[in-house]
Amino acid sequence: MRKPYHSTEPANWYMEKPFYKRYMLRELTCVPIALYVLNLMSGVVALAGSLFDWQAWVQMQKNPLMLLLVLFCLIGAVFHTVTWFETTPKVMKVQQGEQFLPEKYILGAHWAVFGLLALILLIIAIACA
Amino acid sequence: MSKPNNLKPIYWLLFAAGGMIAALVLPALIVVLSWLLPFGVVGSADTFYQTVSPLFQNGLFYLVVVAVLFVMLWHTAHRFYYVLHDLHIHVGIKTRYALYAFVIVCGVWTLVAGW
Amino acid sequence: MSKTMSKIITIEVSRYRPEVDEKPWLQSFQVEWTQDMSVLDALAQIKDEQAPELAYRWSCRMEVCGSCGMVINGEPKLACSTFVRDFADCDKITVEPLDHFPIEKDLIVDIEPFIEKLNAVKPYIIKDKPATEFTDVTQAGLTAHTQTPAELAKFKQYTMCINCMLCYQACPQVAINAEFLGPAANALAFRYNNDSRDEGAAQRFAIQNLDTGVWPCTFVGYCSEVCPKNVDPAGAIQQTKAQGAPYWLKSFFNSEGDSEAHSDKQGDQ
Repeated sequence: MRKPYHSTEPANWYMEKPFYKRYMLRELTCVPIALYVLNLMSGVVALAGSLFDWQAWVQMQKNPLMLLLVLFCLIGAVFHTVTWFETTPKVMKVQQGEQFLPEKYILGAHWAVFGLLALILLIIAIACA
Repeated sequence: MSKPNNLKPIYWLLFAAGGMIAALVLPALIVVLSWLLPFGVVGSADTFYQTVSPLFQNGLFYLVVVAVLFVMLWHTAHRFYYVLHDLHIHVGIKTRYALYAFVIVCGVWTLVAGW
Repeated sequence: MSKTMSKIITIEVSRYRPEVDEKPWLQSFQVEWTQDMSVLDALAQIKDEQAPELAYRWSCRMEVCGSCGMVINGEPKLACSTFVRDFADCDKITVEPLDHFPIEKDLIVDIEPFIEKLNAVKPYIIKDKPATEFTDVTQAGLTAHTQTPAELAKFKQYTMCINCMLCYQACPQVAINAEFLGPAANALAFRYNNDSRDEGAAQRFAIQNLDTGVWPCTFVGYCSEVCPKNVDPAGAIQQTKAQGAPYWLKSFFNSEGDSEAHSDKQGDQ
């Protein structure tokens, strides 16, 4: 006779392996990133507004609670960058004849662009402030 | 070939764009805008405003800025939907649309409030 | 200690007898093992000497047939290429079935859900014009069979799939949604979509763009970790999400034609 048994996966399946835990943490970076983007949206509105609006936004960034929150956002954003870049060699395949560009070049290119953009942003900030 | 019955590719493309942009620039933006600039490490925050605010008065520039923020926020909402799903919380199309709607509202607010 | 002293290890094997058991349970066996023994060999020894009715699938013993997929100490593995000596430092080896599929008996699961998904992606060369329709035999041969090494290289990695279903066991999205096409089926669709000889990509993308196609995938990536053949189904799926977008867009402009791709389950997954 047949009586197939159907297993059910527990709701905390991601706790069963380090690999799954890391995946969950990666996915959860959406929370700190969302919070910062909302902060940035209000910042951009302030920058498009009056000096007073902008000064208020800058003051808000200096608030101790805000500093703590932003630290949390930065950690999340960095972990997002690290894990996102890791995936790019799997998705971007550059074929050269019968070979594919080694994964480390794709990864390296992303970090290079990251570094370049950070530098540009820093230069713009220094130049404008 | 029948017509597709979902908009998943669009949701995903916006997610991919937002995720890539966030990965490339967000850490730097956070450090510069929330730490270096407010504490005067790279110069005066007021001078920064004086220099860039004309740029922010430009409609096209502002539109691009809002679009970038929109797409980054979209990526977080899309991911959050799947976080709920992964936690075995039963979510369907209503939750998905509510999350996307929140992003759209934030994007529209940012556009209108700063226009 | 003498080198000839026999080594005994505890192996717990999942048992399930549908006519007697309500659910699977672990039966413990003491097994004398040697350096060259695989977990598959250990199971054979258990079956020979201790539990003749123990049921499990196996065939080639060399990681090419895909029959002996099991969960060994929590990891999806092929029993034939997992060696007892690697667990010498553990208290025991636990051998369980691929329980993301219905368990029929002991370590045997119902693989029909996988076969159906495999069939759904049409895993064969599709030509708009079958070779039989050419009047010139040499012309038919030239269009159907030539391929450069570079064209082969594009999809070769994805031809290595042995249908062992370890990736389905690794995938938490398969566990949450049994209708998800899953890693291997999507990887095989990718293999054919990227084969220069194939002309059926539109048909496969139509299936893959359904709610249950590629979209339940959240790029956990564990499928690619456990794949014994380095097929990288996770990478194949993400590339499919991107590759499928133009086809999806194009299909909006096609007339409402045949319904060969339709979703049984409407709504969101």
